[in-house]
Amino acid sequence: MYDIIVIGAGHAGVEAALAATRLGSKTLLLTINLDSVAMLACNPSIGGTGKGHLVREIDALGGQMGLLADSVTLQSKMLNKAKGPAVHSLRIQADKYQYHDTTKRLLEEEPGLTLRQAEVEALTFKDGRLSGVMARGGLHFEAKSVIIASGTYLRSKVFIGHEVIDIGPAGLKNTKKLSAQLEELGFELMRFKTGTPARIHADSLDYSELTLHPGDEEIVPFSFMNDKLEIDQIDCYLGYSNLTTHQLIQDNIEHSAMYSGNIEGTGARYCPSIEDKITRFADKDRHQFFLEPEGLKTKELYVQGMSSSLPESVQEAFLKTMDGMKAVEVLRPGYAIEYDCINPNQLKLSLESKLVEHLFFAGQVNGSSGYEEAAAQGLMAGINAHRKLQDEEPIVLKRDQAYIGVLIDDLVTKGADEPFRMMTSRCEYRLVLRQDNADIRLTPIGREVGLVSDERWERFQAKQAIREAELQRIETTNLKMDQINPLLESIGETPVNENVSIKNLLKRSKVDYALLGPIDQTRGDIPPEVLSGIEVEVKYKGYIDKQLKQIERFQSLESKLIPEDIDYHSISGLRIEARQKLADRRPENLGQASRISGVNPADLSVLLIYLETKRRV
Amino acid sequence: MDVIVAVASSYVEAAIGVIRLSGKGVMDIVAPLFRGSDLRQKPRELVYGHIVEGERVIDEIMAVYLPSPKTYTTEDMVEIFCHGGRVALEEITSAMVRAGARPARPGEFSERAFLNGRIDLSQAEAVMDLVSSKGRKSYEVALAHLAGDTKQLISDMRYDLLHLMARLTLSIDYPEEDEPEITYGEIEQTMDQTISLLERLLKNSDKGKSLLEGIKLAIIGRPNVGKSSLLNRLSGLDRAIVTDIPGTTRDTIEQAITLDGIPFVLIDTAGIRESADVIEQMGVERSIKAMEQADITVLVLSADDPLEEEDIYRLRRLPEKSLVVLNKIDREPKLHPADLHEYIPAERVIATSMTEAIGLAELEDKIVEQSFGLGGDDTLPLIGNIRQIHELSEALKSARDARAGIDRQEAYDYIEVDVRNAYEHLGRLIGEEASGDILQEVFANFCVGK
Repeated sequence: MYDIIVIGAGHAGVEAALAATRLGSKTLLLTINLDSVAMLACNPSIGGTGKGHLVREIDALGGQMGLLADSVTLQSKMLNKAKGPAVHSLRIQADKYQYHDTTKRLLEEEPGLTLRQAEVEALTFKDGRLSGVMARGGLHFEAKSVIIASGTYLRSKVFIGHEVIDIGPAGLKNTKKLSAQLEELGFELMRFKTGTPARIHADSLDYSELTLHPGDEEIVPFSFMNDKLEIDQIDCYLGYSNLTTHQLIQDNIEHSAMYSGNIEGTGARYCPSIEDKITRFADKDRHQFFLEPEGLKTKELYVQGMSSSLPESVQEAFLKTMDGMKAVEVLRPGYAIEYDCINPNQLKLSLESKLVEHLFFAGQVNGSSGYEEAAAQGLMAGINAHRKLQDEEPIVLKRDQAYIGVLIDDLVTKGADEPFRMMTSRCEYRLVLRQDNADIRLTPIGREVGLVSDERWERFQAKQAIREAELQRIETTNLKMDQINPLLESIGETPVNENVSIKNLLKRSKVDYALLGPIDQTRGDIPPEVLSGIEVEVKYKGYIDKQLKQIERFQSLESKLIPEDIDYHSISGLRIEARQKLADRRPENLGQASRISGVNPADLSVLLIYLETKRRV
Repeated sequence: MDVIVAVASSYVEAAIGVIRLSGKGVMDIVAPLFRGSDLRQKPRELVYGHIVEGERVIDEIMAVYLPSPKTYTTEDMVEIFCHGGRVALEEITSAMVRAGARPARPGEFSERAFLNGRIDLSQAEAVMDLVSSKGRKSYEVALAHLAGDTKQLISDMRYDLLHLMARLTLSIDYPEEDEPEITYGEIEQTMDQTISLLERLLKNSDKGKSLLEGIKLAIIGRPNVGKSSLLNRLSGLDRAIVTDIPGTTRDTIEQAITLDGIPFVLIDTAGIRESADVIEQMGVERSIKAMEQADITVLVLSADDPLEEEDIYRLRRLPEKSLVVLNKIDREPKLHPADLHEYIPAERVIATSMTEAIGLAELEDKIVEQSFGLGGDDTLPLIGNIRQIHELSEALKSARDARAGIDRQEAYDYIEVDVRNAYEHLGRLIGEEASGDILQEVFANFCVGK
């Protein structure tokens, strides 16, 4: 008898299983194939805009992805460095095979966690209550809770040209029976689609036609547990398609699975295949591709930007027309894959399903896309499945607390009409949800939950102490006018006419810690990320305050909970449209209600009054 | 809870008008605008003073500070008693809004009173009705009041901002794509356009102050053709004495009414009948004078009476913004609409019967139609509702913040924050969902994604 069973050992399943186990639940992690644990099925890369924030947050809460990524980094880049610190985003190239090996080993060694290969065919119920899962071959595993993290494996189909292949990703087996049961239980299944490009041989390229893309000189690790990473970085390369490529694809477009009529799934707009790109943006005379290494022990390169479901022969032909690829050797073709996912409207913010108690869902099966999005949901599902068994309130991160909060709220409240990818523009409180302060925002929560180790907690507290002291110091330390002015003049800033505190100097847009270095004698040995965090908060105080004010307003609605048994149809003041929408979505609080389209401010006022009448009765 | 403000009395002309404010920090907003002894020192006492903004004295008032919790909403409140009439009420309310108060939603004072436990459960339903039905109605009226071209203008402005946000988002969320980065120059151009349009719109709503005070509507015509009945019908009030004896309207009456959300001041000009000659003289003189003062003139004729010389005199002098009401069509007609065509286009003639309530709706519509384009820049629509003006000024504030960010060469993600705020305020103004799909715009226009 287990406490929790996790179905699927991808990025969601891994975080869910580790979190549940570490919190003390006896956990069983089932995977359809042990060789695909934590597989980076698409890009051999982790992080990027928005996604990098998620990884930092997972780490700050005590999750695994940041540490794993740091341990297999081949190249690292902080994106958006020319922009504001709120959108600096970390992305690494990861060794796909090492990522799998390391994770699998970690799971095998985790005390209290059982990892096992088995194909789950059904959920089991006893006396109307979820009791475990039945796997192929009559294996019955009992548990109090189940987390489904089935990724793209449910009734998946792979498409290459006119061929429809009855398999899961990367040639692995798919699974069919669970979908039918979910439908019987009342889950609304949707078909989503995604795709991947071909992998090619690194030695078959003419590098003189490609642009070198090296990593950053200084690596910022994902995990707050790591001060620095010192590795020899591997290069990526950039090249372009051309009009010949596009003509060739155009000539063969009817052979693309996309146009075969076989695909019913909805693809993501932000993940277009090369066929899509040349069709929708016919006026562009080139499309770029990045060549990313799949690992140290392989010559395979991932051709980012060229995902395709054309027949193998056409894929090879069009690749050959592109920069540096005249003699390209294709190692595996690209393909499109279609799979079942549930409508995430049927979930609570805790990721427990509204239909079946103790049944949680996480990752791509919820309509999201991406390793990081999956891992973030897995972590929260693992935490909340465990807490539910302990009779504890779920941990629901709010939109003003974390990208994870935005991700889950968007999915659950708005639903997904295409695979959901995290983006910084989805966050209305972006300026306060920075990757540099993920630990300040979330490590105390992780500690409270029980996932933050003593070691991590001590590191965090030490860093906080340094931060507090430095904030104090810059406020009280004045620099001398005659020392400041030459520096200010050197950057074309207006000079000062008195001694000025470091804090006031930092408020100027062009003044930073680096500039003041030579005259700032009392500065201690402070980690650069602490300095940059302080710099941001001082310099952008005006902007940040504006957001904090918005957050205050946001919170007042967010804290008003709506009872689960509310009968919207009996509230006379609500418009019909609002009643229907609310009854359908069943929001958990007024804030969530306010984000449902078709619910207007007057409806919210009515709800607010109604809730108050119920409270007083 | 933020501080809300609203006019508590009616806008209809009265000796005294009442404005209420409620919320924590209410005195921080009122005190700087109040010249008189310190309200805080005399809670629950009426204090004499003036509302002053900068150097400008807006009105002479009495005010009372009601500290929490023994108030209607249980929050700190201030009530201001000013001169009646639209001008004082609107000006004081606007000044409070500029100082940081938010125009209350309909029923919001009662909503707060209820939520704070001041109103008992039995009245919950009534409060709910107030915020839902009344709120919705006023919202809809306000929206409907935005003429199609205003809505279009603001929609266009929003689209420009949406496109700008899409470009900024593209640069933020897709830093490595093969799409041209937006430049400060491009952002500046869009923001400058937005700012100048918003400034003109706002100035127009200032210039259109006459709109806030009421559009002057003169009702002229011979005695006993139905001018006073018309006034009563329009105002729904029995203010002018109406009888069948000619000349019973004792004085020129000013009456404030609202048609379709637009305030009008009705000027009724009737005469004192002493001798036939004098009347004619006076009636015509009065008519001419009223027409000069008015923004819109309504000439009332009686259908059971053929045109007299006096009528023709008035008809010939009708200004561009005018209507002719052919009243008493329930009686045997001696005057037909066709008889008037040489003086005024047919679409500006409305046949009515005040006693049978015929043609009134059409008349109201025509009056509202005549009011378009009055008082302000004719090329720009007027925005008169205080909540709409509030959103407009907030949008302008955000747009200016964005502009200042460009001058400081702030990173794009900071500028985007202000652009987004401006966009959302304009959305609230025209009642469109604030979100708008930026990402939709990104993916529709740019080829990004792996």
